[in-house]
Amino acid sequence: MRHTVLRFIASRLLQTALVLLAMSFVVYLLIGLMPGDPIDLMISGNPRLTPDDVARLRAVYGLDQPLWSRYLAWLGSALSGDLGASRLFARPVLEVMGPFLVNTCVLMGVSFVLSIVIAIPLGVWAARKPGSLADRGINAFAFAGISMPVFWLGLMLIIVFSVLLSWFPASGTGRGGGWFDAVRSLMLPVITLTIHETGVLLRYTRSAMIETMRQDFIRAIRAKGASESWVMWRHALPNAMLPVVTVIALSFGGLFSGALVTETIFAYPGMGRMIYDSVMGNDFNLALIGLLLATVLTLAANLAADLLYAWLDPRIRLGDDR
Amino acid sequence: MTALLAAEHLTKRYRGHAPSGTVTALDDVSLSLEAGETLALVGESGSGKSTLARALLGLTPVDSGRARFGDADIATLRGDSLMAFRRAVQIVFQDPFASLNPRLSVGRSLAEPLVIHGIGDRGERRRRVSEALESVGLSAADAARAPHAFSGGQRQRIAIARALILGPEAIVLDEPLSALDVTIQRQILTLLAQLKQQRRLTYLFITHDLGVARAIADRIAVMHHGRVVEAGPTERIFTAPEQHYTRELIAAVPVLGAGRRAGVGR
Repeated sequence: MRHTVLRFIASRLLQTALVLLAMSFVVYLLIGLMPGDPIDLMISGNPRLTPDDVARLRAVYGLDQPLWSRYLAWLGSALSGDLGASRLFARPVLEVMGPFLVNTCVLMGVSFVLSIVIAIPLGVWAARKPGSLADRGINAFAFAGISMPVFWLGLMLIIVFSVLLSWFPASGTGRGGGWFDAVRSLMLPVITLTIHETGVLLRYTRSAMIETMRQDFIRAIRAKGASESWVMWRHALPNAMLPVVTVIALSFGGLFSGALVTETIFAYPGMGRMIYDSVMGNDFNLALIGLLLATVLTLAANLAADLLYAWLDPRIRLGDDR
Repeated sequence: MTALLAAEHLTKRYRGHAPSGTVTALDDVSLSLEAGETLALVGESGSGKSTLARALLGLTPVDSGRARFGDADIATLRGDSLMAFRRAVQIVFQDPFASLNPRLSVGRSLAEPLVIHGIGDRGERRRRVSEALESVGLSAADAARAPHAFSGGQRQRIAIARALILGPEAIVLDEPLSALDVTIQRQILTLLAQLKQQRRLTYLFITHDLGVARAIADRIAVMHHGRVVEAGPTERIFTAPEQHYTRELIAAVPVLGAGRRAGVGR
């Protein structure tokens, strides 16, 4: 059994490596196909550049080479550990990415944990009595969270809590002002993301619970005299968690690149912003690594979901290609 | 004589969103289950049999009427008297693949009622689980396995063992055979008959199969559109059905009585 699990993980890691290789090529290709290159941006920034300068610069950046050979050169140095330098920041890619990554991890980690902690108990509570007042109220909240566009919700929160009440700052990370300022700055983006994520998770938890509660084994255990909370927490919830785990895992992968809108509204320097800026600024190296990191996280989240499945549902056997 | 379990003018409606509105699953149903008998509840699907079973177990609220356990109204049972009822009356469901929690080993599923009722310590519970498994033709070693490792017939045996573990007086069997192969059906039917004799059990046997009802039941109650249209001793129901619907039901069974004996050679 343990052996199968290890083999499963090993084969999935191999798949991950292959997907990453393919992704790096696709991303490189897409960026290469974008109109304009860094030299065009330099020319518009400095009109006095002569055609000779331009040719020399293209040679320095390797842009005179065909796309595939540029990709191979990049791949070679990337595999040997040199991910290149960011053009916009004029520093090594990893060094540039570090702070952005930390900011995103803080923002996403907090809202991710909060939304799970809020959504699962609320979903279970709503499923206790479908159609009850509590259920309807929780549903209304969930639908509001799903339906409100994140940019709109963010703006409304800024208007109410920053402009009218001046409780929380509208932008930035508050670093340098001590942890109290940092927490205050995090409040609004965290609330925005949490409300949205909670809505989605809540819906899945509720419907999975209702579905499970209809099963005969739940009736059977009720007929044995088990209390309602025993039935809910010991029998229904573990069985209802399967679809919920899928949603959690899938949303986890998207967290790092998907918060672009939130990060933009709150001028929060995270990965989403960084990827966007590097693509717009023709910063090949930075954009590539940012996007590949998002890919790795998505794949890792999927792997985690599969392992969790096997743990949650003894009927699922890893390595069975069904 | 007080019935072990009884329905008194039970009415249950399901409010749907369909234009047709509410569905009356139980329409003024009265029925009693006497200690020691096997009462078969027959009828086509949708006639309200399973709803009646759930109502008699207090698993679903009813709109009017009472479900009685002895002299007590099941809906009003609380605390110790409710737990005594839960020990005395058990249920076995139709689909043995849905009636066991897939996450629990068979042993844990069987021991759980004992835990809920605070019966025995770990060793005592393990002993009772082994005993229950053996009484349904499985082995004590099966306790460690997960439900998905068993076939449908074995799973139904496990469900029966779970019903037996609290030492019940009555078991409501809700179509316990209809999800099983015909040969397995006969084995389970034989097992149920044995257990009834050994343990002086009372059965409410819900089925749409009149052949099965005739084989096991002392009395038969026929349900149609949420009503009990006819009830009586098994032989009387088959030889002199009073209601048109009962005659239709009997006529619809392909092999019965002499026909069945003739059919064996086919």
